[in-house]
Amino acid sequence: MEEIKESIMEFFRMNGKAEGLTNDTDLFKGGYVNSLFALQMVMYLEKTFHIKIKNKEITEKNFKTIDSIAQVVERAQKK
Amino acid sequence: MQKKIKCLVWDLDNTLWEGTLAEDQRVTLKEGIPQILETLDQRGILLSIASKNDPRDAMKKLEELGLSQYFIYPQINWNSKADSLQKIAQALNINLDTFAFIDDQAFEREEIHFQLPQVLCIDAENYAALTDMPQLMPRFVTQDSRLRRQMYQSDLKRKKEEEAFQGSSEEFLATLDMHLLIAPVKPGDLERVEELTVRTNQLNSTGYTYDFEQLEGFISSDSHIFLIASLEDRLGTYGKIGLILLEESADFVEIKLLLMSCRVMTRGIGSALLVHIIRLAHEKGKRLRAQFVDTGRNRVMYITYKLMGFAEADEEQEEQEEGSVSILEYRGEALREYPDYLKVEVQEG
Repeated sequence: MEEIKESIMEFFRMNGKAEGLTNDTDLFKGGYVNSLFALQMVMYLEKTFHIKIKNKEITEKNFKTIDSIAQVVERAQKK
Repeated sequence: MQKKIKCLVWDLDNTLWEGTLAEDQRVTLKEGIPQILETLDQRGILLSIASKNDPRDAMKKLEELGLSQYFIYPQINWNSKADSLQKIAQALNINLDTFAFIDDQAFEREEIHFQLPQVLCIDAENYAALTDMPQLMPRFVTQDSRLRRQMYQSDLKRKKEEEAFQGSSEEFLATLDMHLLIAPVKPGDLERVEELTVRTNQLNSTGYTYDFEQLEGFISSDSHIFLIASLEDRLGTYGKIGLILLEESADFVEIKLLLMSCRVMTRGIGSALLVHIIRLAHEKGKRLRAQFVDTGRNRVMYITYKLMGFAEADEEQEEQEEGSVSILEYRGEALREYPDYLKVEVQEG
């Protein structure tokens, strides 16, 4: 799980968005995420973890924090 | 229907001008070239360059000839032209299947034909007929098409400023001083409306297209709300870039079409338009639904809806096949705020 979070954090870092970011920062309030960025992140996660993120998993709640995104990845890995 | 071309990429030596620049700097333009470039530019067709030349010499020559302003993202280098075309497509954020390429060398055209079969290749021998080709003849030429190249050039300035900017992308957006106007579609907008529905692929929730009579019908219809959005900032206008078509029934407001020009991607316009729609449905005391059609290219729109608090109306629904219609319903807070970095003005009908 920590590895997943680190890898998500790495994605924010690559995009110059990691400043002041922690695993439980509200990504919407902090202005870290727009839809294009979210799309790029979904594609990054799918590629990095060899998973398919289902449409149903793409929700405001699931993409609120790095913690919650990591859970999405974990659920997809179990399938 | 033949695919309409959005961007025409030119070779230089023996295509735009007679002769080879590296061998003799005194090249002369082929007859009629300035008129052809001007005509295509006015039609809103973007022009670019893929040429194997010294970039400094070639740009200097184009400036001397008074033509450099026509070309956007020119690729003058010694790389393969397939690479160059891909770079241009990426910079413009336009799909390669709306590209044409003109070159006098058969092997260059064959390379493109082989590596990028979706690109229309034209033999430079036929350059004089370019302006008569149906693929280079848009159905309408609107105010927005005439300004298209300049709008892309302002975008280039924005990109450069953004790259140099220290801070988050939201902080950068705040420096742009963006102003979004949402107004009812008027009959004079219909050509642009049609242009938007035909040209927009990625930021398009359903990909529906309508004929002229249908579009006119939505303006006067009591059960439809038909809105067009324009955007400007301190670097210039983006033109009319967004479209909303809502259908009202007794209990629901349903979004049949929500689209934005790809030039405003990352500007948060999709969210702002959705905030407006959410407020509108709230004022009417109706539930808000949205049709979504997965066109294979518009996943970013699906994500926009979902991250704004929309969910599958039928929770049991299985994953959708490409091309089928699914219904999303808004489940978020009753009222939402527009993003801070954007001034929104709503014009009443």
